[in-house]
Amino acid sequence: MTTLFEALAHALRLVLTLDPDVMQYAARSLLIALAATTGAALFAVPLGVLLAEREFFGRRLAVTALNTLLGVPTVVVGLFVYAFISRSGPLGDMGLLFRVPGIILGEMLLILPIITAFTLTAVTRVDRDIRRTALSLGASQGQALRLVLLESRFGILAAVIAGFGRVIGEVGVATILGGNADAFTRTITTAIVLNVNMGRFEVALALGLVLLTLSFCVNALLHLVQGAGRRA
Amino acid sequence: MSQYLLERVARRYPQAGGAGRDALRVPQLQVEQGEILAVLGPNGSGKSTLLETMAFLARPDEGRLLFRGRDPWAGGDALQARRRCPMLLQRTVLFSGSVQANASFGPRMLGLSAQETARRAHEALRWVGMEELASRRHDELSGGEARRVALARILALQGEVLLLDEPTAGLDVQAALELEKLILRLNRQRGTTVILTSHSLRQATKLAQRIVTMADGRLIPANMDNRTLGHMTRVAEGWRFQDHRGWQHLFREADLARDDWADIGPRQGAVQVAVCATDVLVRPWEEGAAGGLRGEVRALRQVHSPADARSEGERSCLLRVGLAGGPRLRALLGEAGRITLGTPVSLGFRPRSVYVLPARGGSSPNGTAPGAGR
Repeated sequence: MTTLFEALAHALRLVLTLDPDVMQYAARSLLIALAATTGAALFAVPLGVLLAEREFFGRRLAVTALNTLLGVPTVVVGLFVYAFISRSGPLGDMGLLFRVPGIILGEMLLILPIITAFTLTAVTRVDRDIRRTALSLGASQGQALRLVLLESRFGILAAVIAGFGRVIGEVGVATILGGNADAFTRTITTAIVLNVNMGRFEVALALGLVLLTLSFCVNALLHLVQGAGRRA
Repeated sequence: MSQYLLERVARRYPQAGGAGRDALRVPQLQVEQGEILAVLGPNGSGKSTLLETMAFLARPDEGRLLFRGRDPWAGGDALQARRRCPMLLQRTVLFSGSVQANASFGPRMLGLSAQETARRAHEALRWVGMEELASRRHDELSGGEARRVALARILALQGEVLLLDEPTAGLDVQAALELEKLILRLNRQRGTTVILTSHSLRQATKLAQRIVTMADGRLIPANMDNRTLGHMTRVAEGWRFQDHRGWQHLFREADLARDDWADIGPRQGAVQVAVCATDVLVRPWEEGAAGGLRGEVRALRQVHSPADARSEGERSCLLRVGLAGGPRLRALLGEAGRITLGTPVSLGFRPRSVYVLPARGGSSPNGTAPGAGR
């Protein structure tokens, strides 16, 4: 209990004094999470809508594969991307390994299935009746699709939030692809692991609390947007 | 020029590896402009499928569907046709937003000006008596109010046809009566052609100038002859319920509202009773066993060999069963089993496979024996 209080006090001190290390890690974590979520959403949302809307050969297989990918361990994704972007890999020349863009790429691949699957569910749930109703009221196929997307926007936003949540608290990909180099690729989560290993438990706990606050703030913001949208 | 002309229209359930089972088969159906046509039939008989087809929501797999003399599917203007015949779906789904926004949806899809859209939405809401609630949110309405908004939504399109799939489903008696009045008013004042489906003979006879019935995806013309019925249905004609109380228990659980029975009684005279031959349950008569009507097998015929049976639901053995002092019924079975010619059998019906419709050619003479059919 004392440890927890000490950690809380320490965390407060770190935040209030704008500790440069903590600020640096937090900013990096946030940057990676936002960039990876945005990048993944750009591909995953249209993909989820496509899977929900179109009937094509191999669609069921694609959905099964997608659901399988939901449970892939983060370290496996990290290893896979490592193989691609390491010096000897096919993308080795791009010099992504142990740099922030490398981590972003890995995190993107990690949450791509999550956002796709959640979008698919959100659109499918809304689609069946809304679409038929829209068509029965003289909407063209395009107009009906627009309405379906409009009606499922909160579900899609929830999918994006889920992706963000996964990245911000992720450690496997960030360690393997980032290498946890201070001042270059260290994020809050990798810093926590490092501090625990070094026996600096209070610092680790303090960083954990900072991470929690960060995650809470972003989610609260998105939920606020969602709530305002619902009332409109 | 007729509003609709359907010729040999068929739709099939999609099935892997080729054509599936028939979902709809309409040999011919003509609907005149300004007419109210009611489609009666039990659940799953294909009423909604027929309406969806007429609303151009789904393309027929076979046949020709002419709308005001043109074939919109062939001409590539199905969207334009769809906009002229909006459909009220069985399930009410309102879009998120206000009642006003919902009522404006159709005109907005047509690309009308904001002013014209607002005017049409307002007028449509006035028709259904919802103009006071225009600013209400979609999730703050009762089931009946939501249904009226859904109706306003299709009225705002001002189409020349209204397709109403069980328009009063889920409404209380008062709300249903008001909606019926509204349909009649729309038809008289705007000359709107109305095609509606219903389970209720009372509703159908009250609203429609013409009634057609459906069973197993097949349209049975009003002036049905037994040949048209094929082997699917047996129709008993000239029944009077008050004369044959003994038969009432056959239908007492039928999927018809109680008030339908009151109307079918002495006031309306003779009716036809139709039962899907595939839904007649036949088993050998057992003395002392509860339930069922006693009958005797008068004819037994293999209609197609079991090898032809494409799916499990396919029945292949046609029975003609005479009931003591009553009509003869046709039943289709998977296999005859222990049942042979002359076997005493017990008959039962699935409630929702029984339906009642007005006798053809007006009332029958008093004292008509039940089951004047084959």
